[in-house]
Amino acid sequence: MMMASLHERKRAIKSSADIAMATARGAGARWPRAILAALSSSSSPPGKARRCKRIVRRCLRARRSSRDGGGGAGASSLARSTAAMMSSGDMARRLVRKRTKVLRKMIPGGELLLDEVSLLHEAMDYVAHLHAQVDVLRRISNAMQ
Amino acid sequence: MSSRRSRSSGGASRISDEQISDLVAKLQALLPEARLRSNDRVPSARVLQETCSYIRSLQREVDDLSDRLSELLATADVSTAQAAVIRSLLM
Repeated sequence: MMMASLHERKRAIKSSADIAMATARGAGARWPRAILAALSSSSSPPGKARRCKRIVRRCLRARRSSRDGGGGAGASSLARSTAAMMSSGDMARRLVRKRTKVLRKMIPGGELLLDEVSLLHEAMDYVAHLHAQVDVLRRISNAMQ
Repeated sequence: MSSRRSRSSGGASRISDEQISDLVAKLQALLPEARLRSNDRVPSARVLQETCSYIRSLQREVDDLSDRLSELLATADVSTAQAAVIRSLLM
């Protein structure tokens, strides 16, 4: 029953949490697909992802709640919409563009988001997901103690 | 040389300044210091920077909690039904 190393156990727990959260989020955001794609190509046991998804779907059916998707806006070019974010001056615009690039890298699937509005919606959704994931892991840890 | 106005009442596909700053304000509200700032608008670049460091710290917290949970599962009494259930779900 026991896995070989602490590191392997930790990875298994984290990837299970990621799969469950990503499956629970469903459509309406991009980061879940990126997480599931990344995890399915890695070396996790094949049955686990399926098991997690089954459990999550059962919970969702029981709750019968639905969430509105974030809904990105149309395809305005990055340069145009980045300019909209600046208050004044070239310096501000460059800084915003730089920070936007960093943010895009931190969100799973962020590289595929081409317009600013989608990126901001995705960032909010992803932050909410991380909040929830921390909460879930804390509760499970407390239940174990 | 014709100069173009940076703001125009464009078509439906154009993203407005207001739309962007509304989203930035909503994002700002999710950050940890949101309560301290009340309604003061923070520059977009700053909001983006804080969002990035906040995401980083949340991801680190998930990592630490996963560590802690895996240690708990290792030392938990095997015969406990609860530990067995959680172990089979997560590992």
